[in-house]
Amino acid sequence: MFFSLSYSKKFQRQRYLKLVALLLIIFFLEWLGLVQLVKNSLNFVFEPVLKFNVQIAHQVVQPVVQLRDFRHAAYKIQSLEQQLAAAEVEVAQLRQLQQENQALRDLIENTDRQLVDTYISRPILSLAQPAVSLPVDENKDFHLPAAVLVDQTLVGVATNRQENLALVKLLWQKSNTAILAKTESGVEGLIKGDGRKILLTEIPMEAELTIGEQVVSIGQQGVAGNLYIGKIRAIESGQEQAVKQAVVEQQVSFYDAVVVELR
Amino acid sequence: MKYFLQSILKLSLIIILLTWERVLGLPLLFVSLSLLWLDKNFKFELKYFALLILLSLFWAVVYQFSWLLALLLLSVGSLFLRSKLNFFPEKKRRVLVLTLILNLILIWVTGLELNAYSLIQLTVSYLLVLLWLRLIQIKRKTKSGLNIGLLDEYGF
Repeated sequence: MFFSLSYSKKFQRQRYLKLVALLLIIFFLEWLGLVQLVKNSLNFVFEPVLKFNVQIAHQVVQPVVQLRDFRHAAYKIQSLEQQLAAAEVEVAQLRQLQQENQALRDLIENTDRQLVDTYISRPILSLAQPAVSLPVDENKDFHLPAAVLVDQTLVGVATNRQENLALVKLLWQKSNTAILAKTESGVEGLIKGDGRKILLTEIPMEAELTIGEQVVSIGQQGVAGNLYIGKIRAIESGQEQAVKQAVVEQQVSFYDAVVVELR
Repeated sequence: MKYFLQSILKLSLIIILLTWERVLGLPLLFVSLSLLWLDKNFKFELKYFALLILLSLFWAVVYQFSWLLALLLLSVGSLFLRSKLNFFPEKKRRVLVLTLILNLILIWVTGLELNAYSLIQLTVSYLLVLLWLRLIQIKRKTKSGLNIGLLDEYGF
């Protein structure tokens, strides 16, 4: 036998039986759920003692935790100092940006300042001689020639002033002023009209044009640079010609516009 | 009456000890002292069973596990402590080994987490139990003039 009890066999058997009986009773009580009731009622006794012990343990352990933290205190302070320095640099940068932002805001909000000399006008429709109305105010000295724009697209140039009107030469008209223009890829040419279409002309043969490229103005007297003109729709090049030209398409029309902008 | 009051006092102390150990981690001292106390009262059947029920109930309530399991562990532990095991002839070692085994079962059942504090608690508890048993041994030896050993009395 693995082990033997020091008491008599009878005593030993009785003890085993009683223990088994006790275990069975407890098992039965647990099965009935009565044990939980006993446990819950005992919790009222143990809970205050447990809380008290937790407080004591906290007080005992706290100095140890503080000592442990103290070991890393120097490193923590150094790390915090670095973070503070970085934060100060960031704050200085933010202050500078704030000042710049305020200055820009003042510049924009100042109504007395006119950054671009523009004038909103109504088109006066005439197929023979399109025109736009000009301000009646004599003090308003409006310089001509000026670019005529519809929805930020250059459609013509206002040239001659006739009282309260400015005559407009549209880009597709034959008599229009040649406008220096370039494509997105940097190919330069002249915008002229043939009476029906807008053409980008005087383009060297070796220059490469792509359908769909945007065309903008280069800038000249009366016409500012980078004004959107249109997109290349077709490329025309004859064998005997020294240069080639492209047809430029515009999405807006002077005749459909409600208001135009003179710039 | 005197023994009754002594028992109440002992039970109160063991409750405080158990709750304290619940805060720290494992019930190492509680299990050791419970086994010793049960072993001391093994001959007195009524007292033994009363102690077994109370101690197991306290253990189960404080550590939130089955009363049946607590009862089973303590009763089997006390029976093993009384047995004559060939590989653990000395009862002092047997108490320590049983305490460890019962605590390992408790860890397995309740899923208690072991950490550095548990190791410190284990070491301190081991030393305290050894000191307790050593002090009682010296006390008995001095009182009676003979070393009656640890098998008969534990002072608990």
